[in-house]
Amino acid sequence: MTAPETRPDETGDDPATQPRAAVTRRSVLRSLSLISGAGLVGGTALAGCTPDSPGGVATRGRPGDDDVHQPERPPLPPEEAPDEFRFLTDEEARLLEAVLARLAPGDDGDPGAVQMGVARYIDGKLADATYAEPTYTHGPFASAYEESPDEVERDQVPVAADQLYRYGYQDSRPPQDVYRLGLAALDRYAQTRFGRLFADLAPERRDGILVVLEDHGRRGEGDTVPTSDTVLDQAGEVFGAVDPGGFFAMVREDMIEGMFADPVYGGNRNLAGWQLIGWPGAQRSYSPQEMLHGTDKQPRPMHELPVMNPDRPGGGRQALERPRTGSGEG
Amino acid sequence: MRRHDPVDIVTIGGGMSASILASQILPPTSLRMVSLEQGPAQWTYPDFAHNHDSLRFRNRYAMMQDLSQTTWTWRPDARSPALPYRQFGSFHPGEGLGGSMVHWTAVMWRFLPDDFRYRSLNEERYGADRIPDEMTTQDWPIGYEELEPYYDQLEYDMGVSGRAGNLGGQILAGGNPFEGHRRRPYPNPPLARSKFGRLFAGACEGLDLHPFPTPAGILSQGYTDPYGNTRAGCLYCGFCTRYGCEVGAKTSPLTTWLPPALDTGRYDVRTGCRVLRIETADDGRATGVRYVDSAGEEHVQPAEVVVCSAFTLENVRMLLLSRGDAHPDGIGNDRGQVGRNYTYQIIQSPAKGLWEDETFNFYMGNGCTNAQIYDYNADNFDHSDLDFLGGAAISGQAGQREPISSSMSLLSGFTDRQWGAEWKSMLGRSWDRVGSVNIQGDSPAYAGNFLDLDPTYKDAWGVPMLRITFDWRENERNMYRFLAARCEEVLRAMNPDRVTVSPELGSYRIDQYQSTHPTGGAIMGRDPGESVTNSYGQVWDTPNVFVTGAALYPQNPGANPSGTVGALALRTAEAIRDRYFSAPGELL
Repeated sequence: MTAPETRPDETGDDPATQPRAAVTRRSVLRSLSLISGAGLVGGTALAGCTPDSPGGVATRGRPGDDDVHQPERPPLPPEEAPDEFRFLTDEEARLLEAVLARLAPGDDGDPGAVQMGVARYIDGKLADATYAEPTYTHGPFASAYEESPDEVERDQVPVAADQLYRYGYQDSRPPQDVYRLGLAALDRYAQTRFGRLFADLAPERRDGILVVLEDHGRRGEGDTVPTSDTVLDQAGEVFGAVDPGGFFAMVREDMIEGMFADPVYGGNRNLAGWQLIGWPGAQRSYSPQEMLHGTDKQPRPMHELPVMNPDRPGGGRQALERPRTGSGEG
Repeated sequence: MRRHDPVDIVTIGGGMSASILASQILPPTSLRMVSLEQGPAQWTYPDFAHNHDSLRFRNRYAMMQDLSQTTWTWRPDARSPALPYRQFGSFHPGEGLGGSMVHWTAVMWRFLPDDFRYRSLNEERYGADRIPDEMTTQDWPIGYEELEPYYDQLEYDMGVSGRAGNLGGQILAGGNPFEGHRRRPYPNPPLARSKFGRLFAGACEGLDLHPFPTPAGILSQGYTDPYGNTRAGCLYCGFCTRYGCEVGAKTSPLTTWLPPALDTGRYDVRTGCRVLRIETADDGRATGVRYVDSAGEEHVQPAEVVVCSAFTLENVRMLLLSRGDAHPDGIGNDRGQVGRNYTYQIIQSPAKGLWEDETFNFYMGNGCTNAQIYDYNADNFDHSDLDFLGGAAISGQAGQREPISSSMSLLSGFTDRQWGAEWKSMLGRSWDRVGSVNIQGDSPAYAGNFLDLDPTYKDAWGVPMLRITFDWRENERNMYRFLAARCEEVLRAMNPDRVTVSPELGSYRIDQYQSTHPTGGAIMGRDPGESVTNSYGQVWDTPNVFVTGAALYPQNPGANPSGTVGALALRTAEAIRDRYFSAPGELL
């Protein structure tokens, strides 16, 4: 049985995906500065509330118009696209690019993941924050069992191996460890199968290995896969502490982010990802006519998006403006 | 610990229903109200002025509750272990001023008259033996007739865009012929319909089905609401669900109810404050709430009335956490009713097509620029010879396609592997040529699906998390199979070059997004032996505590819940304002 893959989004849009990651150092610094800013305005930052104000919303001080480019809520985009690897070693980056070159192949005339700078995107994601999205990281953590819950150590939560996928992300290790261990395991597995490092294998053999990793994950979700159990079990043994399917899924999903996220995050170089699929990027508006007949708008990155000031004072209540009355973050 | 001066009303959460209560109760009275919101303050301008970052908002969940601090646990059944929902998947509760209604899709339904009589209607038409033993669905304590005036007010508060299908009993072409009668048309015409929406509607008409525009809490044109807020119409920018609207076309508390409430000077919203419990006196009455501010200091806010107006799951959790001598199992739980009838919503895309020679501009528009049919929803079709009860709305895929999340699985069913040269080439060629026919179905209640406190996992403040026990049942699997076949019929009538169908409903898995429509757990009813609250959301065993929102639903119909959340909040606000304070602490 095939699970439905295109999932509507509240009414219509595409799938949610396996998540990843949380609060960055940068965002922590920013929120600290916001709290002190509130202190300047309301003098109640530590108390954090507005018990004495005559009503209103606790806020963090009023930014000037030039602040509108700086969203305040984490996670924040980087200040500028990174130009060097910060988490991956050179060897790891070479190996990762060898994977990416098979997951989304390309060349200079038809850019793929490598040409789009996806390795740089992934490196930035790993370097900037432990988790790039909100993640609950406390134990106890799940441990899969095949036959009996007694196989699992006492400080872990026993989960039947064929049910674990239903619970989503349950890894006790951060993505940085999954990459570091997973990349090393990938080379070990290439050595075991073909006696060479992964990056030195012919493209067909690299594809063959990636198929094994993906099928390992799909088998875990109950799918019937072409790769034999013997081969999958061997891959699982060589990978050891890292789940081959989980590692594969993480790289594939991060690659798609790097191909199609705004270039400020390091990937999607020259907007090649958006050119590939024909997405015009950050646009302010489309007309009903464009919805029916298409648009001439060309792909545009976020920083070229004009600031919009929809409804400044002049008509009716200033419903859309902040702040109103009140002071100090609660 | 800091003790504040007493107020008349304190609400847990500063989202949709809290702002509705404040806007209805405060202006004509001298009452004072405080709302405690766990997230930050945010306003259309400047906070949403530059937010077209799809990675940050769509894929890294910038507007959602911070799961690193608190989350929920889930297990498929009571025999299985529960594990934390560590990253976002199945549902997306928001945080911040205005709550989840800031990032919502804004589909704005009235429930059908039949939805309020789910159990008695099915028993009358098909016999009591058609309801499975484990199914604990029950009738609502109010009917459509009682709620209709509040739906009407809500639609005009919000400037809802849509086309009436039943005006005062007269069925109108082009609207939803199955809807309950309405006293007025929608205040604004429907949103522009997408190319795919037109194709879907045309195919439905060819099959003698009844397509109509999705009713939307998004303005199709400029609108001045009854409070004097003037707002712009939708720009169809494609950055809608999971974003705040930068022009205020998408209705939220920020655009509509907070301004008149704050103008009274008697409404105080404290952001960054997390409520730990409702405080109670020896006689069992609530005395206020205890909360922690963003600096970690504890506060107590005394109040005559306490309202649980947070997200469904947190409202149930708050009742269970508020244990004391008078309520040893939590407020509202003296008869073991809290956590019962937890329900959800089936949202799936059973049938998907690829058109080699058409592009659809799916990335434009919003989640409501499509069309729907109600021919297979609720009991709008005969179930005599079917192996299930209930049904679903069927819709053509809407707009706002976002490149990252869509590319993850858009081509599944069309290419063998979702990576490699063939995948990349096809993605480049077909990203705007693939569209689906979707269902949004009802979720009946079962004894084995429920909410309680997790015995193991605690949040960042050491407070137990809520545990969700939930899975689909045979009724839903049979319903899905029937609906998937209907979706395929409609899709094939749209003449795609290729079709892929998922004919069976998979197991519920919490890592895959379906909808932010968890409902039930603190349900309303006619009797304290079968419910937590009366029809006003007033808790039977603690009458100065109210619950708002979708936790009140005895089961979930095949429709987005927010329209009924709003209508119920308006009705509760009126009752508190006009009747409660003349006899405080008594049941309405």
